[in-house]
Amino acid sequence: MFKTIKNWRISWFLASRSILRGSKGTLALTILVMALSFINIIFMASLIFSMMTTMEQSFRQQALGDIVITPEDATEISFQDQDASSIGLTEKKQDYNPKYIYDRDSVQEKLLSIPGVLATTAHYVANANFVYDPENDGENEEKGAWSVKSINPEKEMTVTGIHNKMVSGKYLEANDRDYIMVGRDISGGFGSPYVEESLGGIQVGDKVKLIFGNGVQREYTIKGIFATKNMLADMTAFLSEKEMESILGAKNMASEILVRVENPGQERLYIEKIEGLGISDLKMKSWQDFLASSASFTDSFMVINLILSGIGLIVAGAIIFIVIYINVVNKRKQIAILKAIGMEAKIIVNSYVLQSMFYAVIGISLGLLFIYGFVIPYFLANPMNLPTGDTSITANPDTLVTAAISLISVAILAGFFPAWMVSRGQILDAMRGE
Amino acid sequence: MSLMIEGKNIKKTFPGAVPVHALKGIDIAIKTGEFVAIMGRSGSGKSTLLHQLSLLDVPTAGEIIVDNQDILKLSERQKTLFRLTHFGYVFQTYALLPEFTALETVSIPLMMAGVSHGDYTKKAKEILELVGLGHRLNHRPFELSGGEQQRVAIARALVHNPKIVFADEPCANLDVGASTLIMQLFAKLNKDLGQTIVLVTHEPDDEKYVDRVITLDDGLIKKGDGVQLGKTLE
Ligand SMILES: Nc1ncnc2c1ncn2[C@@H]1O[C@H](COP(=O)(O)OP(=O)(O)O)[C@@H](O)[C@H]1O
Ligand SMILES: [Mg+2]
Repeated sequence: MFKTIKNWRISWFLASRSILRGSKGTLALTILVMALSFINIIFMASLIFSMMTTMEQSFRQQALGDIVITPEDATEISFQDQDASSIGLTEKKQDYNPKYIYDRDSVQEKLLSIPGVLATTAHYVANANFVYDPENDGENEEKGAWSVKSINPEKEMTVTGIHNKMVSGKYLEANDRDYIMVGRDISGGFGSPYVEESLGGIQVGDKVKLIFGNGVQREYTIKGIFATKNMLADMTAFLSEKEMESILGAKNMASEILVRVENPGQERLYIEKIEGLGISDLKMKSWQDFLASSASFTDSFMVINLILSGIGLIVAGAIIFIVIYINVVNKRKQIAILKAIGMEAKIIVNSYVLQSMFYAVIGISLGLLFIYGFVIPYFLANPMNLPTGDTSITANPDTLVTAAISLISVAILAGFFPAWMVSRGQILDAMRGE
Repeated sequence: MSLMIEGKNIKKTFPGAVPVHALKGIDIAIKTGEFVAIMGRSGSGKSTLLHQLSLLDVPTAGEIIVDNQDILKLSERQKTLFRLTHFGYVFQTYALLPEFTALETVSIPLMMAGVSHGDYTKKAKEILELVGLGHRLNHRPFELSGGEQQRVAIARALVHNPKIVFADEPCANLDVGASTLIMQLFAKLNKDLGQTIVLVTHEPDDEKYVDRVITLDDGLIKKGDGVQLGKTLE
């Protein structure tokens, strides 16, 4: 025990002289390489992480709320497998349809009675074919199929942020019957990446015909266009609840209820409380679970992130290994001299391991300083305007820790190997060489 | 007086396309407290012999007993420890570490031996004063003359009271004045402290400082038989 402490003391003594009195150029270069490698890995990983987070959060903010409640059979309503009469349900349980939540108003009231549930909004969800005839002559029609949701505007504004994202016209009102509000990806303007599949630049005031699956056809005037940059929201059109109930022939029902809670991140707890209400035939999912089950883009991002940070780590590791390796190989003669005068090989090797660790820790600290002192504040003040949303850089703590541990490990190996090889070799061979 | 080093039939062959038989069967004995010079032409095997005796190399054949231990039977770690506790080295090119001051350099063998901080600094200072470098304690090699560097090396070789000091042409790179100083220092250490010293030199003049000269010729002992002891010690 005492001997181990003594040995590490000597190792540190050797390492410290080398750091303090060795070549300043080598010291600066090694630390710079360390810092740059670290920044490189963190920057790429953080950029992707931030894009992903921005995108995920936009789903939460604009389309899903914190908790999504769906009926027992939550497959999208399709009108093919049901005739119009079966949809026209008003009498509860008389002709039970598992694609609906029944007694919408009282369900919403009960939800709001749970402490911490801030707001709820209910939607009917239907699909419709959209037809836009710019010249009104039956030719050159723009067509497409999108999802149409109904909203109660007052309640909707307490859950989603679409009302803050209007880029043209006005938000829908409760009594609007002839108006429709559409996302930018339906309109095709306002920087939408899906111009080809859109209604070709339809404007506020233009008329669009909707053909629903149950055969109902109606014409609406565009009242407003919004751009959230969330692909789910921006591909949705909104009608008032009254209008939708008249199309579907439904009353006081819903296809989904979105819930906003006080403590996001505690969704599981709230779901348990909702289950405790004892309302039958409901399915609850946190927005993340809902997203995971319906979209695979998070997986793709994870894979891209993994590949990029993996490559970054390997490149950084190789460079750091080479820099430290050359440094230690240049000390062949000194290692041999120490061994000749009776210094234990492991003390010598440890001194190089300590030196490398020192370079790594200082380099990583400088890198962190740069990231937190400059990169993050800069992008917070100047978010990047990416198609996935306005993105600033957030460092993922997991990535920071992984990158730091990996780089320190590489540095340790790079310090250990050459020192170990030289200290095992013939003393005289190493001493002869300069 | 007891034997400090006893080598029997030491052979060293360097392998290669044309193997070099550098030592062809050397018998040598050196007594405790003796100051021995190994002389001979360049390439006669002086350095090679010194390396075998001082555990810096391993002979192809033969036996070497130092301080009653068969040193060729030691493990690699034991050899390192043996070098620390028994030997001090002075090389032709000084072999100092550029990043350490004179005081630090001389302290290293004491640190290794587990001497406490206060004690090793005191002891290192004493030895540096002994070799006449009391005023150069915090200088690094590049701030010292060749003669001063070699004296730092000698101080490092002596500070932990080794049984034997090995010196391989320590004055080869020095001018006459500095060389004389170094040789007088060795003679003084031998006389005052009874330090056993094995010195390789090709300077015939050095004969006057030593107890006995062993002359090598082409890997064999020519004159001053290595086994019989010099007359000054009888
Ligand atoms: N590592 C080596 N490999 C091959 N030959 C060597 C090696 N070291 C020394 N020799 C040869 O061994 C002989 C003796 O060398 P050395 O002991 O250095 O001579 P000296 O010190 O007396 O000048 C020389 O012929 C030299 O070339
Ligand atoms: Mg020689």
